[in-house]
Amino acid sequence: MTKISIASFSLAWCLSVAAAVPAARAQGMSPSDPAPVGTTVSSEIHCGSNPVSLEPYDVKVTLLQVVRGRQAWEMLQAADAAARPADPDSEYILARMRFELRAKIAPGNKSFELGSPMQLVAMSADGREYAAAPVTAPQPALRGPLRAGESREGWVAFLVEKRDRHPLLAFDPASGGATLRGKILWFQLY
Amino acid sequence: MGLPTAPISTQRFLEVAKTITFKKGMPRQRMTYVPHPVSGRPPEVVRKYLEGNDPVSGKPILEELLAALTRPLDDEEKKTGFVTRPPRPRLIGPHTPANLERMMVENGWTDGLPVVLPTEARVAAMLKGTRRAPGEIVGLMRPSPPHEGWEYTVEMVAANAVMAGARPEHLPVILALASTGVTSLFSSTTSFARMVLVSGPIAREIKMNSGIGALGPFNEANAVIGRAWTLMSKNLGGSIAGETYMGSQGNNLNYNNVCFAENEAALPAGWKPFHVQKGFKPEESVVSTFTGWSLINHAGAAARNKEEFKRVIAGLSASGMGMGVGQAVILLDPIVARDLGESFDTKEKFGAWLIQSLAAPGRVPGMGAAMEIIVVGGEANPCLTIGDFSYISSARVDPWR
Amino acid sequence: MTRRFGRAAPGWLLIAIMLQAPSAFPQEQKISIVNPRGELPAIRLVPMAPRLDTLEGKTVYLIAVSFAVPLMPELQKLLSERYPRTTWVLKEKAGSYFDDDPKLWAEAKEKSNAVIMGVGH
Repeated sequence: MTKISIASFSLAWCLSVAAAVPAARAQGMSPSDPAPVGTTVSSEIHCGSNPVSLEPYDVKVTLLQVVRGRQAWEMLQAADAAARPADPDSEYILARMRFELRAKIAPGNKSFELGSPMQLVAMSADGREYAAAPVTAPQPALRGPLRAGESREGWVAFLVEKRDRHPLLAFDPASGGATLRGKILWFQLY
Repeated sequence: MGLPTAPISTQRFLEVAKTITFKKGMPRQRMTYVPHPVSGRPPEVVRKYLEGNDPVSGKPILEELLAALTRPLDDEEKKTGFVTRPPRPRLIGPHTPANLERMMVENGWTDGLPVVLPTEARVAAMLKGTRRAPGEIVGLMRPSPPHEGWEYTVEMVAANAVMAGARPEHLPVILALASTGVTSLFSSTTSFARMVLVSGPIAREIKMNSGIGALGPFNEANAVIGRAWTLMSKNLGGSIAGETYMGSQGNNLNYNNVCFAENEAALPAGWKPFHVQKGFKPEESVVSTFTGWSLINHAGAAARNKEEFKRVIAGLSASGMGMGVGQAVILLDPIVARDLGESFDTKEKFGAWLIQSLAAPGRVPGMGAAMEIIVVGGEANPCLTIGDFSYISSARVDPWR
Repeated sequence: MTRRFGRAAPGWLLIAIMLQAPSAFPQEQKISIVNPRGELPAIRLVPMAPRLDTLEGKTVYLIAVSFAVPLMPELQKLLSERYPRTTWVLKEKAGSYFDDDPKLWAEAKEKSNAVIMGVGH
């Protein structure tokens, strides 16, 4: 039996790794392949406050509608007359989204909290995260506990650079909590 | 919070801190360390630590903390965006079998015992055990809540099943177990153990052992299913000793995770199988998981009447097992179950009596808040085994056939 | 025929054993295996909060998490002695180190300018 050093073995392993092709993935699983408006992305998130184990739930996320610029601003003003206008170089985008949750295993009695800070964020095409929009989204807002078997639709507001015509929307289930709860999902915010 | 924060930890957690801050997107987190441990150390010793230097950076601890809160951020610390990980290859190789085996051991992909190499042919054969597509996502598993979850497909689970020595008929149970997302190698420094119970028709179909030696190394299905869970927890759930697994002494039960089937045929009249107690139909096949630390065996005739039973349980409770966390799984040999069945016509009534008995004055706190009663054994001894375990969750096996 | 079979029996037996053995790879043969490892998620970079120009006149919460409880009271005493122009407030996070404590975070956000958080044994 031929023994090779760990270093050369690692090199050989890396070469073999480079030659292998990963399997194709569904849309919405990476920033390079965000799901377009109208596409439902399925994933799994873990819910619960049990420190020993979280329960897995199937989640379906759909970006239903994107509204930008003047129309978005009018909707924001209708929701809150005191809404702050965007700077000259920026503009608001509103996204209407739907979340559905289904239990995978028993007991399936946990809930997922929608609306945690930075749970839904806009990203620039060159990978920068935009700060949260300093406005109140129109009703229904996307917030509150979502339980297994439930579906919730609502609006979320973002503030992006005017010249950024292809921003992304990232759903990060981990945001706002102490625990990592699922994969980041990606949508076309245009 | 949006507030400048300076974390301080003990030196033993340096690697864990590096891993977590990297995976949580804050690789430049300004950590400060003190000598380990601080638990149980008198105040004057802790003060001396704080007046001294960080054992990792060598800098004075107090100055380091204040600098962490006041030194302006650099560009790296202000970065946003996402870091994608290297692409995961579907195949590894080609290499000689010996080198692949050595690589797996040295990378921590095994339980230290020889594994069956998951060649494409073997994985394809394993996949005949399920109708589900190889590329279908099964779930997400993490070593404990703060850590990242890894995602895995049917094929990845099948590869681990091959490594464990499983056969295709075992795969639906292993897939159901994987679908729970529960790790068998939970990260706590207290060294958790897990238990896995298979209920319903599949236990008979795949010839699991619920009789003599059921908790021991005497049955293929019991052995490989329990082992597969450990391998999955490392390979699909990211459990890495010293980095994402911090059990200070480890737990020997992790090799097999106490994998067995309930002796449903030996249940006294009125005593339901465990999965039925949890709301499943008798004809459904179900895998259930439990978490705890230890098992204590009580062999002999002492458990044959109620009063002696109470004394046994109270004594075990007083032993401090499970750190008095108020949970127990009681594994009754069928002889004991039959005797108890004469006084209690359901498991629930027996469990309630036990909890009430332990709530009496003089009871040792910590035992009795949640009791799970399971019948297993071969009627060779009126024994019982009590574990400081609590029920986590159950998953149906049938959808994975 | 029986005698011929009898003489060749050891050879047939060896071939039968080799055909049965599931892991019988010639050691110099190279093979590939299906990767048993799971898929790692993307990492979201979290920018650090801007730092303070000075701690003088500011309030800093010292938050003890679970097992680090023995550390933080001593830290508060020492910091109060050495840096009396800063207010050092000792707090304990609820639950174990896995548990969230949104009430405490909201309080810290409202009432403090910075946090030192102790985690560990």
